[in-house]
Amino acid sequence: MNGEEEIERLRRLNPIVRSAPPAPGSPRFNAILEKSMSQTSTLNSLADQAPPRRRKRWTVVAGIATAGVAAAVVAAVALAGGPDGRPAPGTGPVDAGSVLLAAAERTEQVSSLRFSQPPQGGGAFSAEGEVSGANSRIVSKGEGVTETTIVIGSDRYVTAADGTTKKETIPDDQKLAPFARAAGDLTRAASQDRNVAVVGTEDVRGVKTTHYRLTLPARTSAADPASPVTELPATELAWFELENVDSYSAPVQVDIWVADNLVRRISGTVQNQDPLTTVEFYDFNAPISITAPAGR
Amino acid sequence: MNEEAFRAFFTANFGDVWAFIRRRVATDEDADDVTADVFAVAWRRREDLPSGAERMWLFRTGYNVLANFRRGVERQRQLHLRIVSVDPPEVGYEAVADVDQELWSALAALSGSDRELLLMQAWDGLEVAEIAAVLQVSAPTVSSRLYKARDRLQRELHRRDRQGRGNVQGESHGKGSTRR
Repeated sequence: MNGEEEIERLRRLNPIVRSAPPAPGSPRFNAILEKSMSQTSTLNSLADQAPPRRRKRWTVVAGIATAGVAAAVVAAVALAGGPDGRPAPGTGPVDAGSVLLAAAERTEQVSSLRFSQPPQGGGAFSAEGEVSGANSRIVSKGEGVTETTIVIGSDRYVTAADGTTKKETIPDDQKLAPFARAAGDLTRAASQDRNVAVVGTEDVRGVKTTHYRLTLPARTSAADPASPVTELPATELAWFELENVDSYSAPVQVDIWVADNLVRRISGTVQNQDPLTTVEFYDFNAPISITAPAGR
Repeated sequence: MNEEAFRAFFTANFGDVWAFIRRRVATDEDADDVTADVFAVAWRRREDLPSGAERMWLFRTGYNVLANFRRGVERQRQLHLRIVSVDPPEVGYEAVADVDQELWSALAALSGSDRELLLMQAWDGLEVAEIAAVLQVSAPTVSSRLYKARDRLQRELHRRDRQGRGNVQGESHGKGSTRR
């Protein structure tokens, strides 16, 4: 069984058969070339777009990934005082960077927590999750459908609304980093960026927090400095739908709310668009046990 | 790479990149826009393009730009767009020829990653190593996943053959659901 016959059948469905690319030298060809070289992008002008679909994100949530080398480098830079001369924690005035760094270090030490993704977008996608180490249980809702995803090690159990459960082995390239570590590394990376600022004081789930905002300008040249956030592995950024953050043609805001040296909320937004995602954290180090669905 | 060299680079690769994008967006105009974004990334990173592997770099960049593009575009799409979406919503078959419905329907029943692999091979004509370069995974991983995807497509088609087309068109399997 090699499937060659099916591949050949698929070839005949190729949509490109009915659409040819603009000929070299044609007005459309030249317009695309000039647009490319003038850095004009369409991606930052889609103000009326639908929000990203959340279900896929939560369904690919997975177990342990290898430690992000880039994140480790960022951490090392942080402890050495930072590339922009910012003083190391405890040696200078308390600024946004040092507060975020402290929050990063405490948050990534959390062994368990719960998180919530409030409803967003036309499909009202939302999720409630609990995490214990690298294991997780997430109930996602959207477009009237509820789905539960449990990840234990490399096993993923997806229970649909009708109660049927499907067990899968998570491919290596779909495994995400443990949630707390991802949140910690993102916060640490933000702490090292000179574009982070205090927005104000806000309430998150009944806790008074300080709201910080990192604005990542769209890079227009390879010579432009990359934010430490963009150096994080996709296995961490994917939790917050920021894995392609470096390829947006519009500025991206990463908002982080902190209280008691713990990250309480993270939100990412591409300028002029709906939020990519918003995730709130609570019940830090609560006794949480993630188990496989009954009968599994 | 100076401007003249970039224009030559653009001309040499434009058709392939545009076609790669066109297979995954709704209209020629969308393909024009996304292709321009891909080459805009190439232009600003023209000093960093991997020598000898520029074409796959462009496809990989196109794959990433498409992910962003999909976030912002209404998902009212023709059938083939539903099929290649990472997370396809319901699909309709009104505009699909009868002879192709069964195959589309079987394809819709597969996972998004299975679909992407199969269509990269069937539509884009990419070899295993090239798919691996685009997806940034190892070639053995692609080979294994591709084999399983073909097998699942074949089994899905056989299942539909056994049950008869009329009995399965309204069912939902995996991420893609079907309706008439």
